[in-house]
Amino acid sequence: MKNQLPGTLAVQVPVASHRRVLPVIPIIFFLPIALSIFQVFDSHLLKIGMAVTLCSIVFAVMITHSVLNKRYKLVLGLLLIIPIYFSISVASSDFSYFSIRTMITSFPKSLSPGGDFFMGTDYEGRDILATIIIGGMNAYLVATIATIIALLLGIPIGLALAGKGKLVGNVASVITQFFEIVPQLFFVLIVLGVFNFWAAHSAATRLVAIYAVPMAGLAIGLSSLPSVARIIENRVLQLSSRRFVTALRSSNVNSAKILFYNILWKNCLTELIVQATFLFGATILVESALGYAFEIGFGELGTGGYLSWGKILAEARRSILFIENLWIVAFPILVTIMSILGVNLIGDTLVNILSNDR
Amino acid sequence: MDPIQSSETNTTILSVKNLTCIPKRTGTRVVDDISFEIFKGQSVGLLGESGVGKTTLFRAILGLLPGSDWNIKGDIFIDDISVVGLSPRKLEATRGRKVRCIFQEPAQSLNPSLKIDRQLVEAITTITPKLNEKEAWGKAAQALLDAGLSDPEMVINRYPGDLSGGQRQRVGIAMSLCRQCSILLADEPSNSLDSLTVTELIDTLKRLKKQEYLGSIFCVTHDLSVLKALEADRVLFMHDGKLYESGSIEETLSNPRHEKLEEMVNLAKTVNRHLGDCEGNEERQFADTLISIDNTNFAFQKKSLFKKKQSLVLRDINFEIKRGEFLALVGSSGSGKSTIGGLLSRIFTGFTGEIDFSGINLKKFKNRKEKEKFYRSLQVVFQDPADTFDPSITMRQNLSECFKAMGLDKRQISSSLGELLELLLLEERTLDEFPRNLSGGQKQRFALLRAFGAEPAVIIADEPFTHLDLIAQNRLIEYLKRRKQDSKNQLSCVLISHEIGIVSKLCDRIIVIDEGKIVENNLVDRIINYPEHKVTIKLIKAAKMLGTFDSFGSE
Repeated sequence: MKNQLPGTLAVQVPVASHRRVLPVIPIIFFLPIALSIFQVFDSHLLKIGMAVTLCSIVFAVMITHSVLNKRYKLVLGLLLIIPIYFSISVASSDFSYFSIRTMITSFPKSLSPGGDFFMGTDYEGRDILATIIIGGMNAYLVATIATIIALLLGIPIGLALAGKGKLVGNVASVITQFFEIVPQLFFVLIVLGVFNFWAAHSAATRLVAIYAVPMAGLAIGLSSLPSVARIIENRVLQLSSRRFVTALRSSNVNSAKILFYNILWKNCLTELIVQATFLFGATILVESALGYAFEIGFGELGTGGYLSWGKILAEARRSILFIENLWIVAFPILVTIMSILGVNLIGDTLVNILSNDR
Repeated sequence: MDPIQSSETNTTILSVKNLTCIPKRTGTRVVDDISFEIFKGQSVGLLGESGVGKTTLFRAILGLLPGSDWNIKGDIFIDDISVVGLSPRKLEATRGRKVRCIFQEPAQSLNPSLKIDRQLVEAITTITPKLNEKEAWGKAAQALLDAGLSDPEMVINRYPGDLSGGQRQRVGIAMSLCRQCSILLADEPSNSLDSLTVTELIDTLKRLKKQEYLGSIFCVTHDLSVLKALEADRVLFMHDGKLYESGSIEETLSNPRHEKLEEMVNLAKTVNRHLGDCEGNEERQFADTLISIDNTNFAFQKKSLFKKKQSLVLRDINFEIKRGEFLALVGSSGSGKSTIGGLLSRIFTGFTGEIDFSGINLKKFKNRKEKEKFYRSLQVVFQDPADTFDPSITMRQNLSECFKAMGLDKRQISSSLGELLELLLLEERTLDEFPRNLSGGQKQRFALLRAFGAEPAVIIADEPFTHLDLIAQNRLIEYLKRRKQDSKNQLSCVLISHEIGIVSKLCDRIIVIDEGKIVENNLVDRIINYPEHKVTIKLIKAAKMLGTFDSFGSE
């Protein structure tokens, strides 16, 4: 009887399960990189076959799940990121095979798609499928490194911006404003150009080859740090004026615990994940533009010679100029657009799913 | 013919026919097939718990529900003109002349950067364009007088920011009263206004209705005492989007026709009975001092471009709270009583003077142990405590985080949780829900649970009788009463309220605060029977009118 009093019955909303999704995201995200353990096997067919099977299973599960939940936007997003995801999986499981195929120039030149070459060959007689796969892997790696660096630096700087410390806050705001003012591509070009010229000049080209991808990631990550920092700043300022913080404080909860556990971990995580997704998409585009810019400007030395979708485009400028052998440019353009669209669609869905609780 | 002049008794002023409002996003029937009529000269109350669709109905009548978000079916007639689907200009013409309304927060309906007299004159000339400015100001002055502002000239050439909160509320009300109308709509007048303003408002409304300045009154509220003071002719009761007719207010109180309504009335009566039991307690003697406040001043720090402005919120506060004593801080809104609560609970720091809590200096703790001891023995029930929980973790996590920080170990936490859940009528499963999945009332009871959990020596409750729902109020009073009798582990309590009637039944001593100063500090009997300061007299008058001194519908 007692439970029949007004107000006692809870509004019947299912307990939120969105947070269950969260641990799955990094697993799916880092799976392709982990596939590089397959490199110990000998047979190319085995390595590539296993990678493709595994990824297909993951995608089948994700797509079925989203269809069942009627999240059609997510289905579209997942379908669109298939090329880049499979690229990185396949390339990291059998890196040597594909990288050698991108270096061989003895194939017939500008062969149209079909037969042995699924996407044809380019002007210099390289397999376009292999270059796209390696380029996709590099794009994925650069975007991953950039996003992680933006998060790692952006969160503490955002906290410093929101905090009360004058000196720390000023330093943080100078850093943030520097990256806000300097155009992103300009900054990245300068950093990479200087580094690559220096490395090639002083040490060896080997250094360039090893550090080219991480340096690109670092430069892009640094330049996109303000977007993370500003989000953290706003969110922390807004949350710390909420009344639950006062309530926790007057129950003697440690202010460090309130900041890191209640505010940052429990109430900022979803924003960060969503922002990271959008950063990832944006970085793919920047990386592509970077490859293109270096190829037409600095040549091999600029990017450190790593393959990128932008670089393929730049090398095949002829086909755009003379409108001939269009498959050479069509495929890199297509995968770039698909990947960015797909990642953004997934980000949109994440916004919808994760922001349900506010 | 102007309907206000007509002497027919059965003129329909507002009629709602089969009204259904459905928000497009969720598709729930918030207002479900409602029909009713309001005749000229009636005062009608719409009663219902929070969240049953009262405000939606109110806004539908005013045409304030945007068509992009709401599916509205049915018809609303104001003086035989159908207002559903009318073009904005025509709607303005009908609504402006016939309907006036008082919104939940009248103080906020003023434009902060326009002078008040200009705003009022503008409001009047929009509806009746033929008036010149002087005549319009005359009307505005009359409305200000009606709204309880004794000196209308004082608002001339002043901005809303120059007035106090209570004065702003009155100006907002004056804006609603500045023209004759066939019907006045009021939305939850008791929610945001303090008891002084509410009683004055109700007085004014009754008088204006008698003078036929207002045709009829339609008052939306969840507060039975407001309807009682208004002497409502008819009470409509709303539950789950449906409307029920329940006769006059006396009938409603003595013979409620719907079971939910009966529950509401009964709850209100139990609160009163509980309070009634407390009355007539013998004067208690207290030995040792628990909290003492000496010469305390407090000002909020304002950041200004040129100089640091400081206006003192509290001046020369001196009082003591004995162990086991129940103390009430009473004053009208904006008097600084909540600030004192904030100082005692260390939400605000940076005061001058000394506050001493059984040997602990509140300015600075000596060590961690002292801090833990302080926070464990002093608990706050916040004003409107429903949103004082972290939205992203479950109730159990919320509570155990607080209890752990207060120094309770695991076994103590689980034992006190089990005991208190029972006491507060909460189900076990609600512990594992997120705050957003619980109703406001449940969250309020969880806030009480958090306050009771560590068996504190002092509880500071900020406006518990206006913002808590009736179940939570019942539980709070019951708990306070039980701990009052408990001589072993004595509880002191500070109740911050503007309802002098209710607190006088619970407390031993009353402190009346006005404009940041203590104006009276004495035992309850003395203050009630021989009030000295004019604020005290006003508060007592307001409480008598709202009937908080006596019980509802004597059984």
